[in-house]
Amino acid sequence: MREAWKLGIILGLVCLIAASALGIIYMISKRSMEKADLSAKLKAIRVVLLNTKTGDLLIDRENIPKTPGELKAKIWKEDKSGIVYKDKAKNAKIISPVYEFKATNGNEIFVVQFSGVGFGGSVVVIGSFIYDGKEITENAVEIVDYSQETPGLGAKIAEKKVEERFFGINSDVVSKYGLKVNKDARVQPQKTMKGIEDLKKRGIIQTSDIMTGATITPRGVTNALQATFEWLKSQLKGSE
Amino acid sequence: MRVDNKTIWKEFTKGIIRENPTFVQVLGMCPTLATTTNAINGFGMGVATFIVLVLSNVVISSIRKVVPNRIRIPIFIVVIASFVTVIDMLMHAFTYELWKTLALYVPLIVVNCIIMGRAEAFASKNTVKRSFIDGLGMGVGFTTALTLLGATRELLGSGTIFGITIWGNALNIFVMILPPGGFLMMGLLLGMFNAIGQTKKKA
Repeated sequence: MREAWKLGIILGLVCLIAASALGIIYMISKRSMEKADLSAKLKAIRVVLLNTKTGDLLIDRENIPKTPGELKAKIWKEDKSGIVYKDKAKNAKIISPVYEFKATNGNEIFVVQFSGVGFGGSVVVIGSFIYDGKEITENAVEIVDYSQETPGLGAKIAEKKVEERFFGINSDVVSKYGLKVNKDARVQPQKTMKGIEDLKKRGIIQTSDIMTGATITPRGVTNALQATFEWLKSQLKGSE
Repeated sequence: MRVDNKTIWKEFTKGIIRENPTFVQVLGMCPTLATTTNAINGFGMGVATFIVLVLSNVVISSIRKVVPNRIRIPIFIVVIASFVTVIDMLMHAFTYELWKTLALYVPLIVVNCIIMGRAEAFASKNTVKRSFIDGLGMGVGFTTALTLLGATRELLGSGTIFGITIWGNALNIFVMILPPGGFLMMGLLLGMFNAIGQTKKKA
């Protein structure tokens, strides 16, 4: 019995020392970790705020948040649970908070972080959506987390040329046709950019030619993008 | 002094070829197969394991005389887990992109049998200096093995090494970046290392 107490106390002491050391290192590196998280987020937001056609910023340069406080001021919707909206059927989530920016031409821009389910797990996307008072047009998407996707296959989702296939979709197309990847729409892959853009006008996103062998990941992103459109539309209905 | 230096050199190099943790001892297969889909992931995982291995070897060796034999394993695990948590936090703070890619696997270093194996078989029985050298050698051996495996799989599967295009899409053996490719490449490299070992013995 005495031996057991002795061993227990020694083990407890070792744990206490280890926990204290970890606490100190956490306190030292906490600021750098928060800084790394914030700069990754700001970088992604800045990327989606660039006009995909002209390459110019959609908002005034000085309106781009640089600090946590400035970013907080741009919050449009948030939820304490960390999830603003969940679409069970599409396996999609809209992550809190959703930001709102004022475009230089007066339009509203919503920057939404949403996630879909890929092959290995969650694929997180940041997207910018321009609202002109009538229609919502998606400007750009940036894949920010795809760590559970297979490198060389599903992980190609984060390549620029794949992300571009999701650019420029509008709410009219989404409500008329819904969004699908070309394999699900049973459409032969188009060889020209014009053909690919024409498919987009029918809600069909072609990725099969640049992501051979990986359909599940773009399908997950496509479903989540559709859920985001539907949620944004429902939120903006009253303000129309 | 010369003999001492020779022993140290021998202690260091044994982990790289003769007792390579991956290709000879066949330890730590889970992170080896899971993270080596490309060279940078393999190298990153190798370096993270290398740091934990060296630090845990040093600490375990320095406390070996005060640790009661009956609770040595839980104490070793506390030490290893603490270093892994430190590495995880530092990677998060300073190598964000790599941390994002490896976030899933870094916590698994705690249960990597190479680290536990070296703690139990070597560090708990040897001096701090020897344990440090052993950690260095095994760490370099593990990192080299993972980088080699990752680079080969990336080259055959995607036509690149460390993201640099070698032959691009000219020859892509798709299966190499999938789990079966990991086993295939592992088997081929194991065979190659064994063949080299046999040749050396004969010589």
